[in-house]
Amino acid sequence: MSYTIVAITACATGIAHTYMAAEAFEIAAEDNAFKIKVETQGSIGAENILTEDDILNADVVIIASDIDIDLTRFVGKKLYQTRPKMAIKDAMALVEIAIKEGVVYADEDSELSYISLGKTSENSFIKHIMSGISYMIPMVISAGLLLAIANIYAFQKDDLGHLVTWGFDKSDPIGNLMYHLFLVGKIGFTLMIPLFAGFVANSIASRPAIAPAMIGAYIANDPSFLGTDTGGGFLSAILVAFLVGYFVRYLKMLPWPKILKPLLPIMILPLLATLFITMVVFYLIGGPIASGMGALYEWLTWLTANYSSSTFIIGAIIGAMIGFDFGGPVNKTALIFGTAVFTDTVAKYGIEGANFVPATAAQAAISVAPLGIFLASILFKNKFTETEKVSANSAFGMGIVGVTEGAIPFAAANPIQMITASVIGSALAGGLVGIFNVKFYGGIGSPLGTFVGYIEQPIPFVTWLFCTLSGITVTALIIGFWRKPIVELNKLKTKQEISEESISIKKIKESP
Amino acid sequence: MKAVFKPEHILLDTESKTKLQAFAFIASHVKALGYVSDAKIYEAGLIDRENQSSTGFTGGIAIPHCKDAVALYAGLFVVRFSHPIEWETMDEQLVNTAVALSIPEDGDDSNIRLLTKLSRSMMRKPFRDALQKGDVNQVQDVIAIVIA
Repeated sequence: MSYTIVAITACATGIAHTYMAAEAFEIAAEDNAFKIKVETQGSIGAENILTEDDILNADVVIIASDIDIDLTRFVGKKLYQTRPKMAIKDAMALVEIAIKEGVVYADEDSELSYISLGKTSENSFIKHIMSGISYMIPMVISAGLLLAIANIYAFQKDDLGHLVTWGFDKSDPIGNLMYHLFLVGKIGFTLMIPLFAGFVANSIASRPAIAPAMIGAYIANDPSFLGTDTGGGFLSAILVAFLVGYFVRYLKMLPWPKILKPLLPIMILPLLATLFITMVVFYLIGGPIASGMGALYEWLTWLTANYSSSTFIIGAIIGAMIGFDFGGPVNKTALIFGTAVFTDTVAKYGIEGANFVPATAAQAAISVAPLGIFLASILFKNKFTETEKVSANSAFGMGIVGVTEGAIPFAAANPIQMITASVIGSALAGGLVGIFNVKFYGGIGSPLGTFVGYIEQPIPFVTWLFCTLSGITVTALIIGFWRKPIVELNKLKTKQEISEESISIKKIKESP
Repeated sequence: MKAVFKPEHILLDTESKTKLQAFAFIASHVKALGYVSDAKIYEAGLIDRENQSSTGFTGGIAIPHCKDAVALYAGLFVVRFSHPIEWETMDEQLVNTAVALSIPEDGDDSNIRLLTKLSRSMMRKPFRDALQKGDVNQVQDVIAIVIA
């Protein structure tokens, strides 16, 4: 087998074993015709330092060290940790074990997702997504919770004393502060999309891909750039990140003239990739979003005109759309449509004849995904890692005040599972409020809305709670039964464990 | 400035029967050769390093060493034992030769670099054979080739 391997050797003193291990690797490579590059971190400093490309091209990374080595360079790479002695003893045997037993390295933050998703080392799509999510989660949580707190203060009483008017009372110091907290949360939600895309692309093609992916994801989510009513949301960010990542990877493989090489990572690659992704977003993303939203809108209009009596169906469709992309274009189309239909019919027929169904369904569905994931993490404790539980708790904080974005990390990690669960649960909540003829005048789009807001419903307080909680429960159950229990197997073994169970003592290969 | 290796670095230890005795022998001779300023501290350093993880190698060789401020110069010393010594080695063999190193904490980089090269050479059997069994000239030759 012609492996390509990179290794780091280091030992306590930094003189003897570091270099013996390096030599052992190199002798084994000569004898067995595989490629290896060994970085020695000894007392004369690091030598033969591994480059980004070395790491990118390696089948496995072997860390043969008695001391702590900074592993951040290797996030996302298959990695095997052991001690330098193992290399000295039998480097070839160590290489074979590393090929067989190496596990994808995740830094502590992203470890969550590796474990929960099983054999990720074989699934590079998930691996890249996970890398992005680990960077995005702190942003989602801090921005989301601030926004959620602020949102509680955003409901003002109307003339009738109902809590339906949304907006901040900026003349009041607290109201003004909350207004600014709300803005800060919004900024966080705006930034998390490029942040996520940047680090997904980083995982695919390392540093040169970060800038183009961040710019690309930002513009793909920016309505004013696209000339649309809404941005592409997190689904467009995934698309941008992969396009940029693989484009940069491809560029790296081109036979660039030697003189340009120093400029590649800092200038040429990011510049070309940014140009490329700008073209893609400008011509291929903005248009479809605009026309797609237009078509969806037309279809909804036609549907409500012809099937206005099928309130369950219409509510369910609006709910499904809300649950589909967590603040993305489909979600926004449903929200806009609901508001438009309501204002339109109020203007035509007065409040008595207004069509409440789409707007009410949208509000009933809005918290289903984040609260569903939270409920799932409570009901199926063994299927969530500790980090995921923290994320799920903050999703609760957001969901309970009607902020959907808390579900995004889960949706990005596992789009099919999360979107399926969310769409079904949201459709149910939307359909139920439709069939029960619930009228949402204003307030928080979550179970809490029945207290903070004004909702006309057959059984006061209860109908709304029943509808929303049904959706949430169904979503939670789908997620829960779909997920597999966490197996801690993939967790990186400690050096000690590995060295203890490691290579059986074999007679060292004598070199000629 | 002292050379990393000189013919008088080949030492014959006819007395030592245990690892600890060997360390004492090595430390006192390395001190006598002027490579460390304090034999006791150097000896303690060797033991300390050994306790972290055995320096026992393979084919009857161990590579005791430590980096310490008492080390004045980088040096390599070949110590041959009359009595094979019990030492935790990779192939469970008794040790008949110690290749000891003195490593200054912030000495001349170029000499430390020579030690790293010599360490690499330890992976080559002809080099090891020469250190274990060769006469003074053979040992000098193989080392000269490495540090040239």
